[in-house]
Amino acid sequence: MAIMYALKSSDNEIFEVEQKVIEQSETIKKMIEDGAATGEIPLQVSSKTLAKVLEWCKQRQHKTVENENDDNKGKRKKERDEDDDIKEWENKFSDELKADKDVLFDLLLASNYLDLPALLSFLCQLVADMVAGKMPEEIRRMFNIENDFTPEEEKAITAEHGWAFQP
Amino acid sequence: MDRESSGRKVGNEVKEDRISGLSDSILCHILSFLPTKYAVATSILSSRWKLVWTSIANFDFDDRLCLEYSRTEDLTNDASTKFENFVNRVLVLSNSVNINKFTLTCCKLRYPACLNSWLFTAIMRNVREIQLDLYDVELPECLCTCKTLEVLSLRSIFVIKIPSSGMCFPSVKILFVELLSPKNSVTEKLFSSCPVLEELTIIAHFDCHDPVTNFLILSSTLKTLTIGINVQGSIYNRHNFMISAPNLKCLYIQDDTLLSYTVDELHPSCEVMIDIFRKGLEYFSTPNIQQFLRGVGKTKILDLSANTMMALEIILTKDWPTFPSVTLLEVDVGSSLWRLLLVLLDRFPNLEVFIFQKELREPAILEHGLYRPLCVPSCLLSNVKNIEMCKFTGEKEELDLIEYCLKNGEVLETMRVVSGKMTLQKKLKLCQKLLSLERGSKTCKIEFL
Repeated sequence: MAIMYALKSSDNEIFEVEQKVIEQSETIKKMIEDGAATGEIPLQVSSKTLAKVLEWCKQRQHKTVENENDDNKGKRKKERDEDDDIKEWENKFSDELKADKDVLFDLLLASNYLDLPALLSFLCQLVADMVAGKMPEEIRRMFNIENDFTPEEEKAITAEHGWAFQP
Repeated sequence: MDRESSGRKVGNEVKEDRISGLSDSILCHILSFLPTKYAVATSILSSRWKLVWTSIANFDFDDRLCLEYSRTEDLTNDASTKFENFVNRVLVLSNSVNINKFTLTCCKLRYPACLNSWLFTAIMRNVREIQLDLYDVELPECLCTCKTLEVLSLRSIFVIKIPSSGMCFPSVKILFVELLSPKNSVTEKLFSSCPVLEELTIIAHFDCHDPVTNFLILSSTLKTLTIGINVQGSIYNRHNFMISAPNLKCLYIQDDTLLSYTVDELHPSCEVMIDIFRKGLEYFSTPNIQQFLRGVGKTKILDLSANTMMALEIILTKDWPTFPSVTLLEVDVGSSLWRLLLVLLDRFPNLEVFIFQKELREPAILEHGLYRPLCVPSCLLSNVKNIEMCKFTGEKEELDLIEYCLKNGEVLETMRVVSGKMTLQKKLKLCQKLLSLERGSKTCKIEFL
């Protein structure tokens, strides 16, 4: 039987999760190692976000478990197929996040707080892809960034890094 | 920790700027995934963003990211100068103590000294990874002796002077090189001079008029070696590979010609994958191939692509050598070889795991049906424990083969059949069919996915 832990979200919802799944979070892993994890583990993450985090962790977990089990047996071909599956899953996951940026940012903060490096990098890459090659005005609109520069200041920055602003 | 969106998107209310509220370290992480041009351009978004980029630890300079490149073949001198000034300024203004990754893609450098000074800056800041895509440069010596550099990727025509100590890139574990008509001065020395190299990828493009090239790879630390050879033109140049890497775990060769490979001392558990295209067939020489196969055949794990199988079948016909060491064989089987699978199995007397996947492009040939040798392959009778068939579609020739293996596989433990895309109904029907087949081994399990 797998060891289960109960995670408690900031809005008091309980999530029963396998140890292996949540140990991907360095923060929780430390709590468990320190013995601070008796009973429910309270987390500063909302249930909606936590559910999304766990969705990610479970997906990652599947991959590692399968790879462990059958050392060399058919690994390469299966790995290739598996990689395709994961790609497909990740694309769907990304599309959802792009459509709802609030979830994206909640997840970014949660992955940082829970110390989930793989998820954090994945999300940072996602945001970077959204930004890459876009004009400043487009980026501001996308993320509701208010331009607080005076026209003079803006001109000075453009002049300073000329090449960066060439189309 | 997080702020839920409930009640915030009411009416025409101004939406919250959440990205600017992220910590500097997360923003820097995001900017690290961008070409530096775009990372620096975020400085104009708002005052919050003005200096964020100055802490990035990954630099990616690419002179193709401006319109002037697409208008002309090369950058104009003016654009080239602007690019060089940009890189200079960014490196001066950036305040990250350590540089994680430095990437430079540049069609033309007006002042080669620039490269030296940029690399020197990166090296002074303990750079861990460098990727260069340049044309015709001489790599500075400081790069060859850099102690923090662990990952190096070179896609360029480059000249390199191996330091007189004979040691180059003292900490590089992962080396990727893409070479155009490489010179022997590089190929004979470089790959044997890196003292801690673990992963080496060599992609080489040859012109048919290139002189004979010798690749010498002598390394006791190397674990993964990938070789990809492309030859332009109709005549094949000659290239020789001499590989002696006793701790190699994975050898992957993609080479149309397999002209001359001498492979020494492979570790028995090394996994060998060979992929060759058919177009090089006329350049194969049977003795060379046999010599090569004898070299790699000492390993336990062999993976051959469909093209390789086809090519080998045509060249070797009945002269397939025997591979007594191989215990795991993975093959992609084209239609013409499918019927000969059992004959092939006979060449692997100690096989334990057999994985195959069908690559059917000319299904008509299948009319011949499965060729059943007079004697059951000995490995099937006494050694093969696992068989896996991928991309199963339920056709007769597949069922024939499964039936044969199940019936004769006397020590078979698992027969795993991974189905391709099919309806659930068909799947159930096939599953029933598979389970009803006679099994030579009482303990054999059938897994159907």
